[in-house]
Amino acid sequence: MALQYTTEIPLDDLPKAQALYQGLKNQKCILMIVLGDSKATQDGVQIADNLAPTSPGGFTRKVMWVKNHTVLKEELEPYLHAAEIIKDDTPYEEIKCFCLTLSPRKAQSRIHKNGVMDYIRVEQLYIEAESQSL
Amino acid sequence: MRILLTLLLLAFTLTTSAQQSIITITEKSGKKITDIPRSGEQVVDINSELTLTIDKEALKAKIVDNIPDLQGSFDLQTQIDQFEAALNFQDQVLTAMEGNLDDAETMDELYAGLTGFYNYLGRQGTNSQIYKETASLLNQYFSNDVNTFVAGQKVSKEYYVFTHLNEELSSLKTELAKQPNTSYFVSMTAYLQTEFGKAGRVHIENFDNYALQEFYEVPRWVTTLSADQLQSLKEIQAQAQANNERRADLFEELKTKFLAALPDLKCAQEAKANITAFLTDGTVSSRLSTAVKDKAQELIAQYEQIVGLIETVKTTVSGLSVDTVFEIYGLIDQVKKQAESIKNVFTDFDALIQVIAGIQAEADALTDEVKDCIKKLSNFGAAFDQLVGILKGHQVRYQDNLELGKEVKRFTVDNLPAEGFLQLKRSGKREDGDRLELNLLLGIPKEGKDPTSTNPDDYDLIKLEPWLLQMQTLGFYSRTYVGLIMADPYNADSLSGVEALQERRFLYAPSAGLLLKVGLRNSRFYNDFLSPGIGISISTPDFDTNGDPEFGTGLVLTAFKNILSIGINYNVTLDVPYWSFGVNLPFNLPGIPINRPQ
Repeated sequence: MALQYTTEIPLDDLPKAQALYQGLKNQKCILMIVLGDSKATQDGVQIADNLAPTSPGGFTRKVMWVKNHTVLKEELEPYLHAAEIIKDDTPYEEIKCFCLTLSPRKAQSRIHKNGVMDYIRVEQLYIEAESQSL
Repeated sequence: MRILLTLLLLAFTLTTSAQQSIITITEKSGKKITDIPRSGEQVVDINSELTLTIDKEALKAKIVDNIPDLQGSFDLQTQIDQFEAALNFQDQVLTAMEGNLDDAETMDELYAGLTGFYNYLGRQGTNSQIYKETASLLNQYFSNDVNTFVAGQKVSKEYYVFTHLNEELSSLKTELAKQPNTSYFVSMTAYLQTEFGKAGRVHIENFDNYALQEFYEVPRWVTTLSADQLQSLKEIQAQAQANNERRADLFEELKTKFLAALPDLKCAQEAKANITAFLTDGTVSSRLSTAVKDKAQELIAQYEQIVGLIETVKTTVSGLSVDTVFEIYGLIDQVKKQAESIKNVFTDFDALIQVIAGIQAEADALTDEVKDCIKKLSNFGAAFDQLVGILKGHQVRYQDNLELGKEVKRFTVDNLPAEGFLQLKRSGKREDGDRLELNLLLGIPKEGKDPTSTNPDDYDLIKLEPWLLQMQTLGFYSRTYVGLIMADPYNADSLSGVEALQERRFLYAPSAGLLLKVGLRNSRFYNDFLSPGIGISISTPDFDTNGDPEFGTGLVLTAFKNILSIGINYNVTLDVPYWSFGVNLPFNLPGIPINRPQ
């Protein structure tokens, strides 16, 4: 797996994980966040990474990969609550992927853990976040 | 258990599929919008506007049921439609990408196009051809297995995807052109069916070029009698007077007249027997010439024929349907001709026997009997002729409804309008309970006929989805009515000296009333059959039968579309309370003194 635009968040070093997240958050970039470590998720991360340098509007795109739903939950879950993505029947643990706009950071939609993380869906998330960052 | 559940699920799925309608009807009445389900009672507000929306996918499925060859074409056309819809965004996206991306307006254009493109793909779903093709192209773009460079420069993924989608679209169109050229057309017609006679086409905006009818709004609140009702009231007045003068017992009269009007027609056989008896009568026979006997035999033969015909008519009428009206019409025509022929032969026969001396009394007796029978035969023919005329009118409309005039537009699935609009207020004069028949028709060229022909006779027309809407004033409304009532005073004894009431209990009287009624959307049975009403009535009985009507007023309750009425009244002129009832059947039988309510 050749990931050029993806930051893998360590699961055993919370301070470092938080520092990496803050670093990405403070960058002027569209930030795709991928949660989990299933085979489908790993493929999805590669797709998000491949799409990162191809923003049609010239936005900088980055990918943050958190391989479980525990680390950084406190930092990430509020985005999904604010966007009303997390509801009673869709907890944080069932979210596989979402994309944050430029500052102020916010999410629009997500890919459910049962959803397909293919080029179209991932690019759609990028485009959605970029159009909200204009 | 699992098998049973599976079967139940399958049955449910099949039922749901079978009930899926092609046309969705939405009614707009004032500001209120209501969906009219096909599986429901199909009752619409009589003054509403209807929007007819066509589900093209359901229509395609129905067309393929009738023309399986079209399956391939429809599948390809669906894909072409999807590709074209997705590629609608390409100019917007590629033009913006070639422009100045520092310009906010250009960026807005770019992302509006991209959002539209990806949202469209999402709506079509991962199983659609356009989604699969785009996903495949993006995979190719990032796989490095294909050339993504033009003039030494790597092209954008958007350029790559759109370019290849265009190529795929071209190949789909080429493939479509190779499909068998199966001709068909789809049309939609609307037809107003009123209870008797009046009927006609109704214009559906987008689907035909028929002219709109004159504006006619069925009033919710009616408080005055119409000109027709006033005329009926006068006729009922005359009828009531005539009936009272006959002084017959009402129920016996009804019974007798009804039985007499039944097409029993024993008279034909009796007349035949009487003529035979006349010929064999010893005092008569010897005086008859050969010409008279021959004419008599001819008359007997004619009677035998008409008896056979009438039996055939009776049998046929019992199995009559709208499709076999012409059959009975032909039979009735034969009966009428036969009756006329009997009349002519008898006239000749009568002329011959009247001049024979010595048998005048026998001849006169026979003449009276036979003439009476001929009259009954004529009445029988006329009564059925009226029935057949009505049925024939229905059949003509029924068949005409399937015929397509040049005003009806023809479409294929590709150019079929998504919606049609129908203004009931511009559909002509109509009444509560009248029907509006909608037909979505599929035209298929007849074998051996030119599929490009514009002649409707060259096509078989198949009803894909008929609707029969009932138009009804919904909610509370008022109507006036006129009818004939039978009035029975409570204290008839106090009217001693009044001749009529000593001989009979009921007296006829014309009546008119103002009724409050309710129309329901969810029950045709109620609207068509029960249709109760409550209101006030006035009547003009003539209890003292002096020819000068009194004035009565009271409360009335009606049911069965005003056929049955019952009321409690007060004769103001004579200070007599009375109750009344009316049975106003919606048809006339010869001699029965009841009228159709208005």
